[in-house]
Amino acid sequence: MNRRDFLKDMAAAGTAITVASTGIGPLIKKGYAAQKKEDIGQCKSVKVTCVSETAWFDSARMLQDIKDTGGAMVSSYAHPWTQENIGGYSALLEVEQLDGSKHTILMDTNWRQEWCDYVFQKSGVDKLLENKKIDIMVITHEHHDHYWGIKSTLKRWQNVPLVIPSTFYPEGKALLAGKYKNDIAKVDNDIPHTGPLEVLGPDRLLKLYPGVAVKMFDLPIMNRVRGEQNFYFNIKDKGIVTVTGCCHAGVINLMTWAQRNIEGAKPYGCYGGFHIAAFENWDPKFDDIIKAVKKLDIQKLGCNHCTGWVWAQKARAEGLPIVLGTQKYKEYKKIPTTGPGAKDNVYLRNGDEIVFS
Amino acid sequence: MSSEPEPSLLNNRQYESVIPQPWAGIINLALILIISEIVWYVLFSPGGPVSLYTPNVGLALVITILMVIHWGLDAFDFWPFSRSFIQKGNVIVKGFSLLVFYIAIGVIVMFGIYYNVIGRFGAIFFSGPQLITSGGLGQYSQTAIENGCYAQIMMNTCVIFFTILWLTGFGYAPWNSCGKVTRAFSVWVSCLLLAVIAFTFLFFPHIAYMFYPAQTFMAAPPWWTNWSMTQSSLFHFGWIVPSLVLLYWTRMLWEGRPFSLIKTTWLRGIVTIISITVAGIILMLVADSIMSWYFGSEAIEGGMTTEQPAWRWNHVAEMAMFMQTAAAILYYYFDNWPTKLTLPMRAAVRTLIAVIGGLVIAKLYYVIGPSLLNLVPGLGQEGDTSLAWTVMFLILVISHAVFFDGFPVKKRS
Repeated sequence: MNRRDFLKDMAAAGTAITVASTGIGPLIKKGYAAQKKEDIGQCKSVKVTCVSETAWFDSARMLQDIKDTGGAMVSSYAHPWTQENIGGYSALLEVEQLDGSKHTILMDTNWRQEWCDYVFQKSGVDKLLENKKIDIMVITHEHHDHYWGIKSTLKRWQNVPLVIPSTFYPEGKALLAGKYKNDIAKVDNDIPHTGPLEVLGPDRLLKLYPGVAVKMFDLPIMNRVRGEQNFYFNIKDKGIVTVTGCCHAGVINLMTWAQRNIEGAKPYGCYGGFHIAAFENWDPKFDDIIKAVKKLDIQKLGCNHCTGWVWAQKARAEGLPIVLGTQKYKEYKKIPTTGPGAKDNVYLRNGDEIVFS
Repeated sequence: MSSEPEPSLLNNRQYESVIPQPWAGIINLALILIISEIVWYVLFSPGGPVSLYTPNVGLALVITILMVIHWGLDAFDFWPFSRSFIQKGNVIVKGFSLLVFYIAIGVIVMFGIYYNVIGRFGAIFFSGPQLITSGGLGQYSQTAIENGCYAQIMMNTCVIFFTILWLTGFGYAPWNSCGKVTRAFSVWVSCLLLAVIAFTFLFFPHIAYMFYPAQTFMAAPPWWTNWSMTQSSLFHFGWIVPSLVLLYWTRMLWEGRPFSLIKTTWLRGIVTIISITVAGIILMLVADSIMSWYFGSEAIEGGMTTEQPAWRWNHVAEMAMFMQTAAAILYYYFDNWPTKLTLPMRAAVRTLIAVIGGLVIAKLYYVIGPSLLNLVPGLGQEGDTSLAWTVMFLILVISHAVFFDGFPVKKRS
């Protein structure tokens, strides 16, 4: 680090001259340099129920599907996914305000419709939708495992208030409009969404309720997806909790963004897929994340999905506060290949809950 | 020790433009851009028929082919092709012969040597398919193949670096008195050895820690972490590639200066090694500071996307190759303009053109590239790198200008 500091001033000056003289502007918008910190208020608690984190049940099969169609850069709409291997990702978020009032949020809507119907019924989300008890639904990003089960939601409540990122591709927009059918990837929807729709871009923080905000990051993601939005909860006397679908922006980036942009932000907890060792592969960069989480002093980590079982296991072994899951997921009709048989369940799996309060 | 090798075919090519500059350069540049778009779509595009840009398979392949071209042109001076075929052969026949030959060798090296010889009987981490065969958690299709290709990319980069470094610094010394093939083979073997040594120290710790659990009995933990903010060996990639680009520029834009001023071979070689290495590291540090300014914040340890330290080190290499792309266009298509000023002046002007041209190409790549190359707009996607396109483009330019003599608007004179 000292060596890096050595030339910083000289480089900045030189670059300023070069950039100014050539007219080269920023290649991307700076997402981390807010002029003024935002106050998102506070809430008392948030309870997260894992409706489903098993987007796929067998990582090897999932990766074979990806490889067979040309790798991780190919659009998810072009892959003939093995249907028996896919499930989906969604979570129910119940927020308690300081005055005792409550809000219910549905995050994401799974992948395979049959699985979505099953886990919605198992978790009671089906009734919440049918009885219009969901205050708002947020689709974190356009990835198949978070979004393609939209028909299961819309057939229960076509008018559900919805927030999507502004970066959906035409296929994603058509899917929401009930005008999409793809026989290769096996995704379709003929029920148009007719309720309130918030299309969130990267330039503003969407404050849903006191202590609850959604932030969209415009970033490129594997399988030709762009942009992901994430939740920030500001828990009174505790600090910031991030709740994410895949967290492609990075769990450390998210917390750092909060510290830089949200008034009084202090890291407290995280829930979600953290997109680290997504397919149980390892990279030395993943050790960097363990080290960085330690430094941030995060108190509670509830992880699953694309975090990578191996990352959660190693993080726990190195002392990170990984919240252990129960054995409830084994009551589901299909269980993942990674995890069962391990001494500790380092994932919050299907049916598990975590409360940040 | 100060004797020089015989003038090579590569360095003594003489061309003349059929039409005047800058139109000759513009037409050839337009032609190669169209060809590059077609090649990208057919072979690499995620939406194309072959989809080699997985991303690492495509990147490893182009770097392997570039390495083979450097062997063929710089070390072996077109051997086994005859001098008369290179100088007098039909341009189309010669062009396709050389192109097919070097691509074939590249394919053999990657899919034969790495995948099925080294990976099967030696260092398994060079071969994705062998990692999959060995089994175990995480050794699945796609990720194992990407990891195997990563190891190849780093090794091949070391090989290219040392090949160009040796030839720039030492020429064919100490084998100048040997025959063409003997001296080329000697340089080739020496540079392979140096690359293996460099790989062992700079990249092998990364490879050993690329598995879960870490292969702690195989390699030391990444020792550079306190300087780099990451355990990733992309830190080393971030200085080797700029160093390599400086070597390219020494030969192309600066006409051998400043190292050619040193007449004693061993001294020139040592000065070249030290100064190029130091310059590469300084460039990397400067570039890192530029990115901190440009993105509005320093990289974050454990961060992702553009704030990931490893991404930033890799981005130094990406930007260096954008500038090398501009330099190659100037050198091969615009006759290394300007040519009439004093050497220091023309070297400075060419360098300025390469730097500014590189920034312009980078801007175009990130603005219109996503549409043309079928990529997602933005920076920082895990694994996504502009190097696949820049190296592919470089190969096409070299092939066009050297193998095909810049046909159709140039010819041998």
